[in-house]
Amino acid sequence: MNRNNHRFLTMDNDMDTSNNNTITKKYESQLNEINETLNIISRGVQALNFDAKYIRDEFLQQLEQANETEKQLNFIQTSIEETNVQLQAQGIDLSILQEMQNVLTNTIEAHRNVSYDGTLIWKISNVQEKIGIFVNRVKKHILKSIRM
Amino acid sequence: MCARLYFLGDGNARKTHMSLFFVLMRGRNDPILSFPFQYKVTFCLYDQSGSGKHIIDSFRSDTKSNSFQRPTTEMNIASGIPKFAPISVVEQSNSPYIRDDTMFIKIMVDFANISQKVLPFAIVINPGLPTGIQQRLIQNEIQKQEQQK
Repeated sequence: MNRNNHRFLTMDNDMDTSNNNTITKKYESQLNEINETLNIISRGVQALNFDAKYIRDEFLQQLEQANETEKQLNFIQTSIEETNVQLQAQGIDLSILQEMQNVLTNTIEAHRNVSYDGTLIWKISNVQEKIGIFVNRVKKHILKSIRM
Repeated sequence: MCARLYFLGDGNARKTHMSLFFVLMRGRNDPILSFPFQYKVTFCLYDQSGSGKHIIDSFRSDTKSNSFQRPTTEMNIASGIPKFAPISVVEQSNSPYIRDDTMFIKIMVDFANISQKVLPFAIVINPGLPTGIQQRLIQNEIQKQEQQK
């Protein structure tokens, strides 16, 4: 009876050892997989770190460019304002020149129609235009000189 | 002196007649000129079609009017003929008084007191002739008309 019991015990021990080996192998395998995964994650994190650094550098560069662009925009805006002021001044100058030209034209026209003997032939050209102007201005007269 | 034309009329003649006025202006020779101004002024709007239908009108200066005294400002008050010519004569298309968008008006101060009968001759005399020749032709016309009497 004891002999039999001992045999059974031995058999049980053999079985336990075998199971332990299987479990150990299984854990080892899982551990390896975990290690492998950790390695992959580690490499991924490293890559992400590189990417983050690259993005940060890129961002700083873009920020610098944006600042530079903003400065240039301010410069362009100032230039546009200066150009507008110059254009307005030129417009005023042009109006003055136009007015001077009108005065000169009228003066020349008046001198064309000058007589010194009391008789004047007054040649009025561009009649339609002048009538139109006078209608618009409600100022319906023109002046010419006869000088003695 | 200067002439002032209102194409579309002035005062009572507004929108019906062209008004033509005469204005005495202040001049540098005023101290040695005689005032008031006492001459007849004649206006003539030339008919350019060749049919000779010139519009001629004249007025005699009113020596009592301020318009004809020695100017104290740059210009005296204008005086002349408010109803010189109906606007219709220049507004009509193909008006004989406007050719090539141009019209001619003669303004003549009559220093020689030309009679009313000789005036039509004097006013349309060839303006290209020298003034002396024009005056001689006018004198010839005066003599001719006196002989016809």
